[in-house]
Amino acid sequence: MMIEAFQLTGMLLTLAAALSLYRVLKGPTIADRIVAVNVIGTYALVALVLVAYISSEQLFFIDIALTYALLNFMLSIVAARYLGTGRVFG
Amino acid sequence: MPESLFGEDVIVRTIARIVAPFIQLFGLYVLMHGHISPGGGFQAGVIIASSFILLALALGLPESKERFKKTIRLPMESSGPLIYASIGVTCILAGGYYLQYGMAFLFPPHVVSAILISAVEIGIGITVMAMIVTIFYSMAGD
Repeated sequence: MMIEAFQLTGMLLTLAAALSLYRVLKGPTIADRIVAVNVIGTYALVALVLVAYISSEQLFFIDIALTYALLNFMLSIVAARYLGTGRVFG
Repeated sequence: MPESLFGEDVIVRTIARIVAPFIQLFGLYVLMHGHISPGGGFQAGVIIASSFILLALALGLPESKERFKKTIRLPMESSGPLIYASIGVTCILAGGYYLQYGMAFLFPPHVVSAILISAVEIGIGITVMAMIVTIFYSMAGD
């Protein structure tokens, strides 16, 4: 029963990521695009953990989810620095 | 433009200094488990280099370059291919082909194979890490 619930959650997360892809393509300002890419990354992270749980043979999806979290964190810092100052390095 | 935003923010500095050792530990995990899970030398090198990029973003470029000097980076870039080539030539000297790990010297063949694969991965990881940090510093304005 839990497996089906997680499968449904994964499908809904993928749908939500597809919806935020519209904001990446259409977003008026660059801040919209950056935040939308960040949201897609977070959805992909949770979906990867769900995949690792559903197919319990392939626990290495946890590693890929960790790498995703790391890249998202750095993207947040770089985006905040760029939006705040207009440059990444002074 | 406020100059205080470059490397002075307390929250970013603290979080980066807390998170960076764990990123490096995860990179070492990917390095040593490359033969049974996704990953290997190149991926581990990129992950460890990303921790240095994070430090460069949080602490500012001059301070991070002070912590990872060019005199350390250049020998690390060169030592990886040296480890790779010396292991390959050692396999020739043991009676096999270039990088044929399975030749038995001192230990049974599967033990030798495991040790040499890990050593080659470590060499690749060192080179990729130093190279990517150097490329990033060059792009950020050396």
